[in-house]
Amino acid sequence: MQIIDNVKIIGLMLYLKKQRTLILSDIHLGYEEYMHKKGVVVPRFMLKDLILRLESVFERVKPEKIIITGDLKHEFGEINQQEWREILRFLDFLLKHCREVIIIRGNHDRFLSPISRKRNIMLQSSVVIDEYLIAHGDETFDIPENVKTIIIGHEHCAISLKQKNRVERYKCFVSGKIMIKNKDKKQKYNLIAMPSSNTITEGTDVLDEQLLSPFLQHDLSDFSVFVVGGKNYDEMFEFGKVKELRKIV
Amino acid sequence: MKHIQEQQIIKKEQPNNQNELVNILHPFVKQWFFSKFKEFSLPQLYGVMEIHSRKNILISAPTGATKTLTGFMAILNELVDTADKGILENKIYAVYVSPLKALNYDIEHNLITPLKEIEAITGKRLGIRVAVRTGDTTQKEKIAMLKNSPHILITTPESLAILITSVKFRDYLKDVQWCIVDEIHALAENKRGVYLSLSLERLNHISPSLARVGLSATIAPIEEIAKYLVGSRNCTVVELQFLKQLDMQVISPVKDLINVSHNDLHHELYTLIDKLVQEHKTTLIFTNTRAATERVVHHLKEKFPKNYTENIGAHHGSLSKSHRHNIETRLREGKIKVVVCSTSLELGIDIGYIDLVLCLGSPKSVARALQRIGRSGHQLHAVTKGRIIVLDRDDLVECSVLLKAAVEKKIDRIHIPRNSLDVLAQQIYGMAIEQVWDENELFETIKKSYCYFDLKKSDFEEILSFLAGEFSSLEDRNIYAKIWRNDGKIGRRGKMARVIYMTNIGTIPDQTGVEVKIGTQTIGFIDEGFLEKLKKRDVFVLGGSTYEFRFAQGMVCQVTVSAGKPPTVPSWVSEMLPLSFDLSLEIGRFRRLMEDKFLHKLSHEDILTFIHEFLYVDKNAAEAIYNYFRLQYEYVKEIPHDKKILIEHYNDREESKIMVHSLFGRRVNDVLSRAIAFAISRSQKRDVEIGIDDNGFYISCEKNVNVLSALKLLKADKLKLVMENAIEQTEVLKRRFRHCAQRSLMILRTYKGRTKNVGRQQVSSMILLAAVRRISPNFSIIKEARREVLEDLMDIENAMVVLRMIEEDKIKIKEIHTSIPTPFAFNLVMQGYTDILKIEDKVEFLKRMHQMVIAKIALQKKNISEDKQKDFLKNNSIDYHELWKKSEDKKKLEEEEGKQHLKFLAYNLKHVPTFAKEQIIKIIDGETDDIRADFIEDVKKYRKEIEKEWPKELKELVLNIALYDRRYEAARKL
Repeated sequence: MQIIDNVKIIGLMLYLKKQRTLILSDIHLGYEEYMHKKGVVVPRFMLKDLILRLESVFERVKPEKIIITGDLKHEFGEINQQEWREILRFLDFLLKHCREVIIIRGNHDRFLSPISRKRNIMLQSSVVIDEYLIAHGDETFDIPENVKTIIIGHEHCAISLKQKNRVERYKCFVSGKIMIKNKDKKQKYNLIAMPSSNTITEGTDVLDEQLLSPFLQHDLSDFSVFVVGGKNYDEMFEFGKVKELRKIV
Repeated sequence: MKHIQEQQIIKKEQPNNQNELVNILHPFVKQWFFSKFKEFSLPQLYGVMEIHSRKNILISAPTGATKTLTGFMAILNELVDTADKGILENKIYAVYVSPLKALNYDIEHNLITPLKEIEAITGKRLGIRVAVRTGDTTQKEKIAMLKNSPHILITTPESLAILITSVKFRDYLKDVQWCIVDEIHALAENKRGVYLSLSLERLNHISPSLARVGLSATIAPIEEIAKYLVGSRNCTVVELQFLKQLDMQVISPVKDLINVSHNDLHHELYTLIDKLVQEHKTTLIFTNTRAATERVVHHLKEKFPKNYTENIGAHHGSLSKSHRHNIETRLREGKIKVVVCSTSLELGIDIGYIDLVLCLGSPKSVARALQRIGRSGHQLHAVTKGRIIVLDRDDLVECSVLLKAAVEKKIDRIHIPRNSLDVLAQQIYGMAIEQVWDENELFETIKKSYCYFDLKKSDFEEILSFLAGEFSSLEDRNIYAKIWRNDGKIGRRGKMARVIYMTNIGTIPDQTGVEVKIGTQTIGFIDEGFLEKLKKRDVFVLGGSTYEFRFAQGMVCQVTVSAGKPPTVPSWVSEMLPLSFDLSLEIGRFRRLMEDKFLHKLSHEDILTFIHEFLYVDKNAAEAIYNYFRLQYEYVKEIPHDKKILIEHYNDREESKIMVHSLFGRRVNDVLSRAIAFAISRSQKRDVEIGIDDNGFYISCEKNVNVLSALKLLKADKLKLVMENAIEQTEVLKRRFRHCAQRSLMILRTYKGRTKNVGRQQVSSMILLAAVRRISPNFSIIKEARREVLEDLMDIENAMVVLRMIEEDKIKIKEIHTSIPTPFAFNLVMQGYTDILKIEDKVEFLKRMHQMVIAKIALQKKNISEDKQKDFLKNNSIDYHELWKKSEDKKKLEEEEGKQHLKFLAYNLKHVPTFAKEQIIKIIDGETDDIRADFIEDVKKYRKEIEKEWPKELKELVLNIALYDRRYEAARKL
């Protein structure tokens, strides 16, 4: 499904068709070990699960570039053993399927560069490809002239749907127009906020909960919601606008 | 080949005589005993000799029947003898285990004082040490115990397991002669008891000559409890159930439970309670729920400020330890007149002289009723006096049958959980910390416990494999393994093992309530499971008032007062006690006998005489029961009973519900209703709403469904499979999984010195569940969560019994159609829904929601006129809020207009007196609390005319309120 022209949803990822670029967000590798350190014995499944989903994506598209919009790893303050092993394994897997992997530094990624350097990948604060600016979304910054669309992660977008006593939460993309004051000039941009590409938790309810990203502090009433469903996150549903959903769901 | 010896559970029919007992007593003990007592009590005559000869024994007798002293007498005797000979060793001779932590008083009373008195009489220092070891024991006391071992150790199931695992203390436990398990009835039916049964096997493993002594209140089936106590060994059983004279009555605060306003009933109830309390010295009141406890105290103080000041107290699990302790002490000292408790004072500890026990509402089981009422006259030969106050007609019938069963000594059977895999995992971990085990020897040791006697080898293997981390890949295994397995042997792994085990031991899940607040003011507590279900603007009931949910922050839930709005989510019923299956069958039998009387057209008088004689109730109660049954019978000519399930299709303008009258108790109905709902929703692909109580259940669905065929399709031998699917998506399974994950140490409550709160644990467990399901849907800990839900929380076993009887045509099924529910269905109709059975897959649900949303959006767009739409688009958000407000205002206006219209219709009614019109106006305004009784009478009287002549919307409203709204009031009147 296409969110805006040239930008397509594939599973929990985005694909820029013309640029042949696949965008993943908030993977949080190392989460199981982090939980384990807190005394919860979560078996490791995320990497395996992610690779399986990516393999099916690569059957459909052949990206040249893969961008990770931040929070590739989970631990804030250190590198745990699982992260060392799995991030390298993951990067090797990606590099087998594309020419270039770009990693944007997320707020969880403070200690990621020692790992990424092993594969000669430098962390970036944001990337501009043609008219698209891709950033983690935890901070604001100056936006280059030609940018029209901003794509962010960080928020782990989701919505809760309720009917009678039943409540279910689904991952979703939200997309809409925002005005940003950039270099004393107000300018209009398309903004796309992504769900997390991992399958541990659904994420933050964009209808109900307090959102973190400075990009999402605007009124989101006119934003469109694209829900990702299906057993393998392979079905897309356009759910109308936030304001309509707030009223109905 | 191994010789298998048949286990013997022998009832001791004859007591020993006084002389035999005197002969075994050491002169010191003899002298002491007869300085205090005239003669041996019956439990002592039955029990002391057996304990003296180190036989396993279970003594079941009511509270206050000198059980504890019976348990200790032979042990004291032996120790005094040993001490007198000067050969007392530095080791533990006897272990006493009780589920209660606050034991100090009882132990003082039963052990320390006798020892002091014996020393005083004989003038010799004996040096027998008694020590209490619980979670509250200080470090200093622990060190003292390590230096000088106590001879008698008083402890809890949790602390016992810790001590067996402790390197140093363990040595003192290697030649224990006796283990007394007190309050065994309160342990056997839950996982704490399962845990203890394995701890006993562990103790037995290092102390092979251990004799087990079980002390229990009235309980059934006694043989099973004996087996629980001793595992595969022999046991003597002493059953002294009805030593005390029983004075038990069922009473109603008003003569007529149906034609009474809520206010009147309320008033009469408290007047009655006050009257009974004032007539007695000390009264204990049981209310079943914590919330009701507070309410009763509050109302008594408010209505009778002179009678209740400092002399009344509440006692329940949510109150602080010091508060509860204070109440207990004051009770014992006779400084308090009345104590209101939920269930917390059912157990053990001596609470002094009480001459009356009141139960508000049914105690739901005969054993529980006897246990509660047995709290009065707390001496061996005193009369026990109990009154059960009933508040509606179902309660009246239920309690009357309960009374009959109690008088006729028919005790309902309890359920002992079996083959719990989570407890097994925790205990095997503990055992591996103790020593290296041969896998087969370990298996055999575990199987000696009654809770695991038929444990499957494959399940055992699964747990070993789980503990050894075999679910993870080889390279991760060193992280996940808690034990090593090699060459048929197992042992502990990791330096942290002992600390992890000791700080996370136990089976009781953390259940802190979520605090409900308005601003900074605390309103009360709700269960965290309930919080999960709430969404913004949901209205729910708490402590009798309604509140609107705003938001939650951690374990605090912010609400606003929402007077008058009907609740949108059901109230939380997890606290409710389920009716026991055996008692429900007794009630069913009584119903059947009653139907028979009506079928044979017996006269009013004859039926009254029958009720009066059969149930031991007074004339008023008999009359009330008669009227209740007569109404039901005359209305539909069918009375549901133990051999007849009645399916009632109830249809009124707004809703249609299919009510199934199946009086088998909530635990069985939980299974039947979910299985049927599952069968239906599978074919209809819709979520189905269900409501459950002890007397039946209802099913409600957007489409018409055929409950009868669904019920007939269910087969007993397929039930387990159906139910495993039916509960897979439920909240209750998720919650129980968290508990199981905690018990099996997948979620450590305390780790590296930090303790996780419940909210954190819940989040963790959701992630864990998702991860574990990926490994296998039959992962042992998920399997255990399913077993716990189906066997312990619900009662799949007896549900199968019911289905089998349907298959064999021993239970008949009848169908009826009603537009006003039958009297027997009132309580069920009034109940909010209990659960939505999520049959529809999450994926399917999304699809349907999508279609719905799209359709609604399209509809809305059409409704907004061109102009407005332009404005709307131009100014987006600000206008949007205004629009929202406008539409809300419009809604209110429409509502008001609707009311005006109804009022107009009411004023224009012909042949209706003014006072009645006033009552109707009240109903329209939603003020239904104090509708006059004569008005209700008239509505009933002129129902036919009303049906014929009144405008539709008015007649529906009034008939609804008049005919059964007060039933709703009655149901929540406490």
